[in-house]
Amino acid sequence: MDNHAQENNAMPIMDRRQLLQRCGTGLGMMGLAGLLGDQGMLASSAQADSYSNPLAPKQPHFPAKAKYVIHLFMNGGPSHLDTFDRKPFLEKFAGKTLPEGKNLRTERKTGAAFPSPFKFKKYGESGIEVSELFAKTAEHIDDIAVIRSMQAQVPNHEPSLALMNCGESVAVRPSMGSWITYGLGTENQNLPGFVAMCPGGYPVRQTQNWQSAFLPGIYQGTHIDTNHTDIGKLIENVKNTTIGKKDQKRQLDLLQQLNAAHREQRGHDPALDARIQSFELAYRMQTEATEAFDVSKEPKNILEAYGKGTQARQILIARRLVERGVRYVQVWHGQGQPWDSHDDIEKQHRKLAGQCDGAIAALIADLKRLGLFEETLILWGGEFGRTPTVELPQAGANQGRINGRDHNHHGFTVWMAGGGVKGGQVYGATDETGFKAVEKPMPVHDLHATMMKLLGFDHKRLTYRYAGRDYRLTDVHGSVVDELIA
Amino acid sequence: MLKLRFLMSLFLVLHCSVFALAEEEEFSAAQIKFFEKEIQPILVKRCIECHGEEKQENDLRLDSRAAILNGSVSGDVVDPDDVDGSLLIRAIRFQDEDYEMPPEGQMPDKEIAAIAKWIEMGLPWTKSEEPEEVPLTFDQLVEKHQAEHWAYQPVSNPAAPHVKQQKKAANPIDHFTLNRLEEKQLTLSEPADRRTLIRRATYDLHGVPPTFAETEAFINDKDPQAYDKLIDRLLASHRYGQQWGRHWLDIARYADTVGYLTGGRDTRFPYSYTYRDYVIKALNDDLPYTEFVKEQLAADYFVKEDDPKLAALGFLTVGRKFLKPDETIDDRIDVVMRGFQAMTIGCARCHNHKYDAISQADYYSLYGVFTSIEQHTPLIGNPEETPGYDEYKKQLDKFEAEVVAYDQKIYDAVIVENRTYFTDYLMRAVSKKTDVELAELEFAEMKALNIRRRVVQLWRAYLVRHAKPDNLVFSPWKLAIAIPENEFAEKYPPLLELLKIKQDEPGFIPLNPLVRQRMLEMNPKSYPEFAHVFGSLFKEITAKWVEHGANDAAKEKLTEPEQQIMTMLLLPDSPLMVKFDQIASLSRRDERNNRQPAQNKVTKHKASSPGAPAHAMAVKDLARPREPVIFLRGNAARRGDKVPRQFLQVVSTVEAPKPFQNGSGRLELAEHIISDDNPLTARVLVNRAWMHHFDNPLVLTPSDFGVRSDPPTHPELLDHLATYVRENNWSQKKLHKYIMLSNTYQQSSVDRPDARAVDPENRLIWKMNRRRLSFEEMRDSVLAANGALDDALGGVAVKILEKPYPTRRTVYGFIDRQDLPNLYRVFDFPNPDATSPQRSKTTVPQQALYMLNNEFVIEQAKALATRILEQGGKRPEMIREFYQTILQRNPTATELKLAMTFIQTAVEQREPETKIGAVHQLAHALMQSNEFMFVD
Repeated sequence: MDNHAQENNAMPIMDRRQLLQRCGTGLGMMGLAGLLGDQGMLASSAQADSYSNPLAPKQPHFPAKAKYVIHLFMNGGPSHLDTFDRKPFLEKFAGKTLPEGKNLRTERKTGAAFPSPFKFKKYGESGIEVSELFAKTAEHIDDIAVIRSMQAQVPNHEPSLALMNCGESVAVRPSMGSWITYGLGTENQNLPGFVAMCPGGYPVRQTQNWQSAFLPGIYQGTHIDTNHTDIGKLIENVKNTTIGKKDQKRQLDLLQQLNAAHREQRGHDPALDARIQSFELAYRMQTEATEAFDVSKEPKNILEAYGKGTQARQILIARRLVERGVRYVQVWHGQGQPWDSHDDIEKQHRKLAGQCDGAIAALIADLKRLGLFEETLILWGGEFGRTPTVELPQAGANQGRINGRDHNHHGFTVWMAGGGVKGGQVYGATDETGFKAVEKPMPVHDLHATMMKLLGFDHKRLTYRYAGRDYRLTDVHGSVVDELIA
Repeated sequence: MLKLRFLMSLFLVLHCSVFALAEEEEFSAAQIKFFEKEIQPILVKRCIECHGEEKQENDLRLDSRAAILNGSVSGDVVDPDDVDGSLLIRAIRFQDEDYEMPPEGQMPDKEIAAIAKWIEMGLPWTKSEEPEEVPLTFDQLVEKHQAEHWAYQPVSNPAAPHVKQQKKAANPIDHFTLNRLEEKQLTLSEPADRRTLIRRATYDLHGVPPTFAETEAFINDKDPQAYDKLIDRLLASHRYGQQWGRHWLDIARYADTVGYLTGGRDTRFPYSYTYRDYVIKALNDDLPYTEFVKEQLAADYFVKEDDPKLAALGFLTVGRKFLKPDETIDDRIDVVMRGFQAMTIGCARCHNHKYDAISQADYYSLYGVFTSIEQHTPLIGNPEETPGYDEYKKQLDKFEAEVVAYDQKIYDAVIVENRTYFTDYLMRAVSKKTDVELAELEFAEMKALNIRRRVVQLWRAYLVRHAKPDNLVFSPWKLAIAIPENEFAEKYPPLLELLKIKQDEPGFIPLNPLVRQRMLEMNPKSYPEFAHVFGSLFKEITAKWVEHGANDAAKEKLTEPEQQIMTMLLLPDSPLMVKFDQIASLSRRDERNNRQPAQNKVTKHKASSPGAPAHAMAVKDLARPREPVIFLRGNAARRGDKVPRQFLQVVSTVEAPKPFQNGSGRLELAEHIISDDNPLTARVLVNRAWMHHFDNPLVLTPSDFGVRSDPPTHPELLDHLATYVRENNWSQKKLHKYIMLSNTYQQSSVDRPDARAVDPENRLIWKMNRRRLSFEEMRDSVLAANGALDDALGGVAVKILEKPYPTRRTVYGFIDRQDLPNLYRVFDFPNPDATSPQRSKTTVPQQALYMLNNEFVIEQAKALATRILEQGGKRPEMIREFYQTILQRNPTATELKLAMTFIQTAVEQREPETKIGAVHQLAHALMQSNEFMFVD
């Protein structure tokens, strides 16, 4: 009978360095893509080598400026009418019922026209009007493309969040961040490729917002509760509380020596090599990830520019992550649906915008300073906008104060900046009331198609074979809007 | 010049080449010139983007004459004999609201006229130089696939091929593999050593390693039947069902929660575990696979009403609860068809499958089956036998009573409101004004916030039924509300005049005297005032009735005209008569939200109390099954042809499918699947079994045997195994043993560069594939190393990631599909929202971080080390013990020395922040090793 013990005696035990040399140095040698069966259908240059790291950086379909995405998600649905889409019409019609046929159906009943309580002003050379809520962000308006003709499909949070994140309002589909990470990999193997920050817990629809669905699980967003300032709580298993750094290093050396001998007996096996490498990466990740989330190392002027509070901190973290090569960063405003101002919109929106306006402005300035602005595509927006009419009381639905707005999927605003976006422009328009997108209506699929283009993808060609069909983010829809691209 | 050509998509293998249509006509040069100059540019500019090669909205293509004549989902789109009636013309003229084309705006009149003229000419088109390709009709496609596609061919029973190296073959399986290998001058690898073999076999069948003692016993077993006995022993253990049950649960998209629910509702399935336990038991009992299929689809057709086998129906019901019911039906069709048949038919929901011969009619035939069922959760087995049942029942009664008490409070309030606020509701039932506007009226009594939408609806329905001209209480009602609301003040007075006509005069309108009197007194000027006439009167009379005791006797005490009104208000469908069981719809949103905590207590108790008796997540047929219709483009609002509930045409190889007769048709569906004529079922089964034994299937897409899938690497072997399983009463255990007794299975996994050069992916199986442990195997092995694994059968799911960490086998861990822990994802646990054919295999640093730093892993390593330390041996003995418990072998001399040095250094140089001893660190390192994580 064979006995391992005897075989082993004949085998030299390599040290860790020798082992790693044998396993190859580059990431290209490690990891199993594991896209067996339902396998990846990345086109040409992005073709997945079945033995390459599934998160290794990959080239998109064509050269592009944008390499990273920061999605500032104002979850709950910020009012376009109180931020980036001024409607003088509402002032004229204040308190009056909108003309026949103008009040569209939304989730709840709404009544008379409700003019914005906020002051608007023209900014920059482009002279785009922005309300006082985003006065600081507006200082960068010449770098921003304001899309005023967005459209979703229904006036409810769950399907609209699904649509905005995953391009499909009902069925389970991978999120945009998962698609992009699948298509581009990520540049820093010591950090997750797709990070979804949300202070206090989960937004509505929870982890489905950053799900990988049928794409391999590694493309799923990693949720980070940015309410925590303790780094150990931010990333799972990043800290070992029972062992010192040097002792752990010694333990790892032992482990890798054992692995080396094991591998030596078995000959070529990329899966074994991949796991050996993954321990090296994990070891480095402990330091690097901790450092990436620690904003205290930022200079004082930077900290001051971003301001105080959780929003400022997480937007600054977003910059630190992008700076370190994280591919896709989502910054959710908070748990639940903070921007959902069915009541007290003036008070609520003022508070919410106050929490992030300064930090968003600082982010743009900071990315420019670091030379990252052109490589980073920023998307600001919610899952829909709000009605130009006041929401009426309904038991349990609101507090009956008659000073808020209902959801509005017929027309709303998002904006993009950086990453090759042509700034200083307004694209599309809602009707005079602000209820419905009428000029150059922009379905969410078109937004996705355009963002994909900015990242170097033909949205029709970044596909994945699943259940007998090639799926893509935009399903069978989506047109690129070239006007938005510089 | 723009050139329109019907370019055949590279993937479209479904088309065959024939000469242009029979209707092809000869056109004059002038006609063709007209087409090229006037029509072609319009088509290109306005139509092709959505109706061309790339997209075919409504299945319509406008880029070739043949395609146009083929029509769309709605049928023919052009008719030269009826140009104005042609759908295409109606669409571009914007005559149908549903089809206004192009969607961005109507084209100029001149273009519309040109197209009409062109249709009248009979659609002249540039004569194609190449023969035109026209799509096959669906029936032709079915025939073609039935004739040609490997998966639809009857399962054959090929003779084992002759091979040169007969000696290398242990059973016919090896003949099939050797045959392929010998074609490439390759052969099987040497047999694996016994240590490797027992570890491989034990992991394959149990998902955990053998013990050191079992390993040594096997190595030293001189019996020639030792390996045979080993397989039998492994198959007889309940751990087999836990391991292979988990494989099936991937297919069944098993989870313990429904997914996302609004309003903070508890998302747990209280009884999902009964399905999981059913699966494990079915495998342990070696239930014939055909029975397994039948029970999961239709157990309710043939078992008693409290039979534990009803839990099998959880296969249909443990999916996610989607926001739309149609998605749930789609999910069930998907899990059945991909799960049992490896057919992807979801595409046919909106249009005929692009590649496979699956039509929309096929999809909706199955849709008809799954729309004709409803869910219920019958008690199964004997609840009194559940330990702790009495205590459970007592608590449950208490929690349920809290919910009832809360509902009673709401119900009482509703009754009082409905007996009081007549005006508030009646005016909302007629007026289009908003709740807020109406609440501001001086006679309004309710705040807008407190209006119950359901009560408004009930009044509306009541009025539709009873407020008719011959009704003595409501006779003027219909006439009044026929007046548009904004013209009421102006047009109502003449109507009022009619009410003044005396009984003996012509034109008299019979009416309750109290209503008539009040109408004339109040002289309403608006809808709300009109409603108030009735409302005020109803309120007064109802108050009297309540005062007298609100019963039949009380009614007797009213005056006759009052009685007449009261009788109307006490009709069974009157809002005054709402029943307690309507409380859910009567509740306002705030009340529903406030009920939730009490309701959650009930759900939680059912889901987590150890004494909760088992229920099945069952389904039953509706009393009258629904007759399905095709939804055009998958849109339920656009109904197409009726279709029968029946099986797929393409798999019904013997004859055309027959409509199902029995209830929803689930049993007949199951019988089609397990029929001897079904070419897919056995192949799908054996391919999956092969996949789990070899870490690679014979058909690379185990849940897609459609025409775009790769054919099997060993088609004859696949059929041989399919025949084997059919001839052996569909026993999965026999199949395992048969596969495992082959030399192909028993060969070594060590690399052979020569063979690798020929077949780098090992598709020909010249060696065994080394595989990494799955998430479950990894966690269970860590527990097993420490001797702590709790592998008892069955029971409610346990939250394995919460402290204190349970030692339960991972298959019994709680699976929250809405918030699947990162750890599961990181280790490639499949997404439980859809059937999962196969797990991905990724290696990422997050996995290593878990092994390095996770408390659970460290805790287990510590516990093991502490146990061994307590035995008090010397260091070398301890090290041997570690190797034996973690890796089931003794260390080599080199390894022993390495470990000794490690412990020595770790003790000497220990950092102050290090809280675990050197020996613990060693145990932890061994648990992280590749040897631990891979099966050779």
